[in-house]
Amino acid sequence: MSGQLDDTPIGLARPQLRALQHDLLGARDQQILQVVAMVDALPARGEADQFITALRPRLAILHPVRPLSFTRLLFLPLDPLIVAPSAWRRDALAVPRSVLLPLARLVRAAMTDQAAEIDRALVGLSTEHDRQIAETGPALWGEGGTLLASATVPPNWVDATGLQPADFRTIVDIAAPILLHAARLQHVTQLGTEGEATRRRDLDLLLQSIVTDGPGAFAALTALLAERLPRADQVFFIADDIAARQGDPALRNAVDRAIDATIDGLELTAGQLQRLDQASTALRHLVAVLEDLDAQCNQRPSRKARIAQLRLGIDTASRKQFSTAMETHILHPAAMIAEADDHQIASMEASARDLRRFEVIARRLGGAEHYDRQLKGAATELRPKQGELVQTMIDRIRLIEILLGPEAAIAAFPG
Amino acid sequence: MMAAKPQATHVTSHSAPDRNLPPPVQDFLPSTFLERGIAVPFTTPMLAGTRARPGGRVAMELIVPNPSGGRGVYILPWQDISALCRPTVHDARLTANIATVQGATPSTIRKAVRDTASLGFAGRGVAAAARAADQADRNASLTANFELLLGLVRRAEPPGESALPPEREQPAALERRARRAIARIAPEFGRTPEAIAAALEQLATLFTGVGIGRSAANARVPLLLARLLRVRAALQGVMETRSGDTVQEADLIAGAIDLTVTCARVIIADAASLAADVTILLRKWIVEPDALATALARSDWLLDGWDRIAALWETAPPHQGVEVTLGDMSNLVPALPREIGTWVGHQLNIDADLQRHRRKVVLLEDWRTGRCVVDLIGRNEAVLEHAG
Repeated sequence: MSGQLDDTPIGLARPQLRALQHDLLGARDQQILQVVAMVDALPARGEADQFITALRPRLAILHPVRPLSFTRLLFLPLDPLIVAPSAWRRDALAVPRSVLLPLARLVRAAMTDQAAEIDRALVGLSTEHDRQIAETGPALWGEGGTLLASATVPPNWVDATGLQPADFRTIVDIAAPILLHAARLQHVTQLGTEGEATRRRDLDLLLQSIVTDGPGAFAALTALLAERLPRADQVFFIADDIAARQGDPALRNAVDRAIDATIDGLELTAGQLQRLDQASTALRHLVAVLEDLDAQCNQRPSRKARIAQLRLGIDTASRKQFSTAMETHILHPAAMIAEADDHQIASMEASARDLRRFEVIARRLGGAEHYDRQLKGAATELRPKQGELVQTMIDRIRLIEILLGPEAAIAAFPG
Repeated sequence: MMAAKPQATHVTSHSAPDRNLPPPVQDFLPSTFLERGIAVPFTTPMLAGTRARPGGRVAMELIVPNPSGGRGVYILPWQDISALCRPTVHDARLTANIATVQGATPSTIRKAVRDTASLGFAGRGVAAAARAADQADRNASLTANFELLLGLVRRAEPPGESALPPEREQPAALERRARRAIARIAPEFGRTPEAIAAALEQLATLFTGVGIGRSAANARVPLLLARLLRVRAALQGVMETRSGDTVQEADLIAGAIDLTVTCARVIIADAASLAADVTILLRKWIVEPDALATALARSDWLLDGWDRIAALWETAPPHQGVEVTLGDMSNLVPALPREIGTWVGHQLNIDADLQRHRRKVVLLEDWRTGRCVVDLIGRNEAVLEHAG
């Protein structure tokens, strides 16, 4: 962070900014979305951008609506591959965020009038304007892919990105082919569940068409599709099939790279599951991909073992997280439930829903007995007590109903 | 309104040999509003879109959208609700309350819904909202009574008797003028002043929904229309920016809102014209009270269930995809019975619109979103709190 403290658009001193960033990490989804919208609305984001940087892992889960700009539209198809500069490695199937502006400037400089036209077309639009994205995006992606494929290292590359000159080609070799195929990529990812058969066919054609761009591009597109489509195993299956048909060991290795990149991504996500309310969404994706990968790795004992290890780690962490949250957010506050106000009751009920949502997904990793035991124990502790007010009795019944369902709630009625 | 008659094609579960099996699924294109039934805001996800109506051989029937998400509905006796699903505690109470309702109308079901909600089994917020809605209706009834009295004073006082128009009068003076007006017109109806005052109060209750005079815009029905128009404007934005199924879904709901609002405006205008001369209104009430009550309840029947559709839009979490919200909304869009033609036919020819709307509703297929049940119950409770 290099700007003067007083330059922060929201006028905060550095320690306050840090404290606020820290608080935001624990904020609820709604609050996060409000902060992002507020920062996006600033005419000059300046150091307020630090908030967005700190929130990126959460934003990857929440997918908030963001204003469309030339740079954002250009790199929209690459979204799941874009990582924090600190997380980027030379052998990764990823694009560090710090290169986006320099690369966009290269494209913009070459497009001149066309770029100004796109700027005008994007005024007032956001990432939810998919019709306008479908209209404006393909031309920009095609042009951007072509320009980047033949571009040379820009003069300010090292200063602007902190990367080596050689990294330019590594990154562009991944980004340019994907941009060139971005219109079809968008089409495949936007097919609904009703388009399953079409998607398999289009997926096969899309992956085949990038083979000529080299194994790196093939691996990156495979990893990207595995992240964006509902079934990662289907993507890997089709990529494997293409590699087999081509009889090219390099393509086979590319599929392995994509699977490894997906597992790396899962490990990173697993390490970020902090709050229960935000953990469920990430955990759902994580469990689904783990199950898909597990089915995909029968021929690879070492990879299967790595997945089993990852699964065990997530299962253990999930059980602990569930037990702790049950105690902290339900049972402890419920000891004073008779004195609780509307806000406290609403908070307990929200936590109970978070727990239930989490548990439904987490038990797919194992530990069903653990969750059953925890829930039954909670229901016993929450049972209405003699002599309590009717309102307190109803508050208790509701918590039991949220945690265990209506039958348990009816069974807990006094008398 | 036409009397309740189950459709000839209905095969309900009353005669089903095995009560563990659900009844057969049927197409559902009701001819009358009573046949369409009244929307019941159950919180159990499986019961989303369920309606209640008087039964043929049973006191009350359930009309439940096909839970598979496909076409058609289940029609089964009210007490068989547990054959379909395990209802929430709130819904079990609501089911029991509705079973005791005499004469199913939007008004009687609304009372059962609020009585149940105020117990708190759908949450404290829902209970508070139910009490607030009850209070708002009581206030609206008082306001309507006040407007009727103003109208009566204007009609009964000879020109020049009072210097001030009644609406600018002090409360105590207005009360004196109202008493005098009632006493003056009571003999015309062969009734005591007390009976006329009571009749005005009864009429005020009937006008609670649509409102009267200057305060009509703040009544329940006009407020709901304003909410629907805001939703309609937002849907226009969706149609202009999205593509594919999302646009079709938004178009279906927007079309249904257009048709419903158009019809509602005619019905509200008819109600307003009834209140234009309070003495004529009183005479109608004395001579044919059932016909007048039926006419004034039409907006309630027409807009029944739309408060929840509006609330689904208004309470949708910002990070939830608009397609999910639209899917939930379109599942609740009610078929418009042909009876609407007899209600608004003197002002509008809506046959073509009606035909188009009914075709769209029938062709629409639901789908299950895979969301967690506990979230759907929470969402349904939030909608119940904001429905109004």
